[in-house]
Amino acid sequence: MDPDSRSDDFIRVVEAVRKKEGNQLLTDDDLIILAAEEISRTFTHEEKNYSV
Amino acid sequence: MALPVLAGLKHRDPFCHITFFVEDGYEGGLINSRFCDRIFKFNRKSIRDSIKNSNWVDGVKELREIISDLKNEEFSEVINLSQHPYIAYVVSVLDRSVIKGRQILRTGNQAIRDNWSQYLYAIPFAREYNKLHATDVYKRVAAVSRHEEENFIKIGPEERTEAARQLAGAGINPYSRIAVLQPGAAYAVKRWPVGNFTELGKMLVRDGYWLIVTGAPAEREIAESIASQLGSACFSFAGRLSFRETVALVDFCEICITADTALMHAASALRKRVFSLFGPTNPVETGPYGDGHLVFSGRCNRRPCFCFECRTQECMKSITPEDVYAGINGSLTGKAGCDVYRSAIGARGDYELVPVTQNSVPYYDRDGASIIQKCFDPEYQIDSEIIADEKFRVRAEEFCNCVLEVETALGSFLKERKIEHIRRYDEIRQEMNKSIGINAFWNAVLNIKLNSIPIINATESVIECQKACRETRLQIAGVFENK
Repeated sequence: MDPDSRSDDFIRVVEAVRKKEGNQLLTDDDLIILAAEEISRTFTHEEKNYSV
Repeated sequence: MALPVLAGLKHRDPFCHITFFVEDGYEGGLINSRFCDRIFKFNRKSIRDSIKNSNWVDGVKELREIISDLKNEEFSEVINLSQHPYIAYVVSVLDRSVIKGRQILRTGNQAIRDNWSQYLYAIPFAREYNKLHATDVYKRVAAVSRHEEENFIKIGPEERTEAARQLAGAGINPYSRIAVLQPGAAYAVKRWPVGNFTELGKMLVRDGYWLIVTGAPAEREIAESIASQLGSACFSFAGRLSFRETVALVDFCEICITADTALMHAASALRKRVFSLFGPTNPVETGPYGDGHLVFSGRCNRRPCFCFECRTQECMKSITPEDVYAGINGSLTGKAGCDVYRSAIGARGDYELVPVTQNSVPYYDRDGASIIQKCFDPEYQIDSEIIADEKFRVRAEEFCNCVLEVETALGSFLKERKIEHIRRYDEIRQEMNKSIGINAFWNAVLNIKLNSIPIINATESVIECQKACRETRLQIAGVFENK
C-alpha cells in the first residue's frame, strides 16, 4: 500500500503534533496520533511476501 | 522468544497477573499458556487500513479505545520487548506504570532508560561484543532468572486430537517418526535452497521418517514441489493451517529442520530436536533456545550481515544436506562444509553455542563480550586475565577520556553559557561516533542514554547529559577497578 494514500487532514493533524515535540509536553491524544501515524506506515507479512 | 520471560515472571511472583499485548494472528505461542493470564490482541491491519482509506478518524478512535483499555489496567510494570516504533508510542501512554524498553517521552524524544534495554539496543552497533541470546537479554530487562520448564508452549488435548486427525488424513501415523521440513523463512536470503531440502528429505525417508512440509500460504508452491519429489512419505501442510495448528502438528514430530524462523522458536519451545540453518542472521542472538539443538551456520566472511538481498547467497549454499543429515543421525565429524554448533544452557543459565566442527569461526569476541557483560552486571564473574588485558584497558581509557571531555564542555557551557562549548561538545561527539571495536558498543550505550534525556529545559537537559556521561564512565571504569 502506498503511504501517501493517507488523507491530508490526517497528515495535518500529525504535523501539528510534531510541532509540539521539544516545545511542549505531548498529551495522550498526541501520542495516540503519533502511534497511528507509525501504524499507517507499516506492512503486513503477506504484503512483504514474508513468511513466519 | 518472550515465553521464557513470562515463565520467569510467574516463577518470581506466582500471583502476578500477566497481560500480553500482541497483534492478532501472532498469539500462537501463548494460547493455553499458564504463564499468560490475558492475551490482549489488536488488529493493526484494520487500524492501518482505516487510517489510509480516509477513515482515519475511525482508525484513531479504534486505537484510542485499545490504549484506553490498556491504561485502565493500571499495570505496575510495562515491559516493551517489541522493536516496532508504534509500540513505543502505545507504551508511552501507559507512563503511570514503570516502563522498561523503548518508549517516547512526553517531550517527544525516544527514551530507553533501563540498563539492559540500553544493552539490547546497542547490540546492532557492535554485534561482535555481544554473546547473549535475545531471550537472555529480555530476561535481564524483565529482571527474571532462568526457570526450568518442560515446555513453554502448551498444546491442548483438543488441538492434539485435531492435529492427529490432520496427520492421519495425510496418511501419516501420528505416532511414527516424523520430521518437519520448513523451507520458508521471512525473506529469501534466509532460506535454504529447495533442492537441499529435497535431498535431505530423501535421506530421512530412507531412514524411515515420515515428513511434513510446513509454511505460509506464499510458500505453498515451494512446499508442494518438495513433497511431490518425496513421494507418499511426505505431505505438505503449507498454507493449509494457521500458525497455531502448525505448532500442534510439530508437537507430534521428533525433529524439525528449519531456517531462522518463528517455527524454529516454536519447535524449541516444545522441546523438539531442532536442526536450524543460519545464514545472514546471528544464531548467538536468535538461535533455537534450549539445550541440544544443532545450528548449522553457513560460511561467509560477511556473516552475520543481516542483509535482505544477496547476489551469491554463499552462506546458505555452504550448508549441505549431507552435513545436516550427519547432524541428525549423530555421525557428524569435526569437519563439515559449514560451521556447526550445539546449543546449551550454561552454568550461568545463559544460552551458549558450543562448536561441534573444527575451526568454527566465532560470532563474537569472547573477551570483549565478557567485558561488556561485566559493565552491565557487576556480579558477573569475569576472568582476571581479561580485565588485565592491556588492549581493553587502553580502549576503555581512550573512551572514558573522550567522555570526560564531553562532560567538561557541558560544564563550561553551564558556567559561561557560550555557544563555543556546545560546538566543542558536538565535535567530540562526532569523533566518538566514529568509534570502532568495543568502543563502538560503549558509544552506542552513551548515545542511547543521551537521547533518552527529556529536552524541554536546556539547563536541566545539559545537567542530565553530564550525569549520563559520568554514569557511563563509571560503568566502564567499574569493570577495570574490580581487578
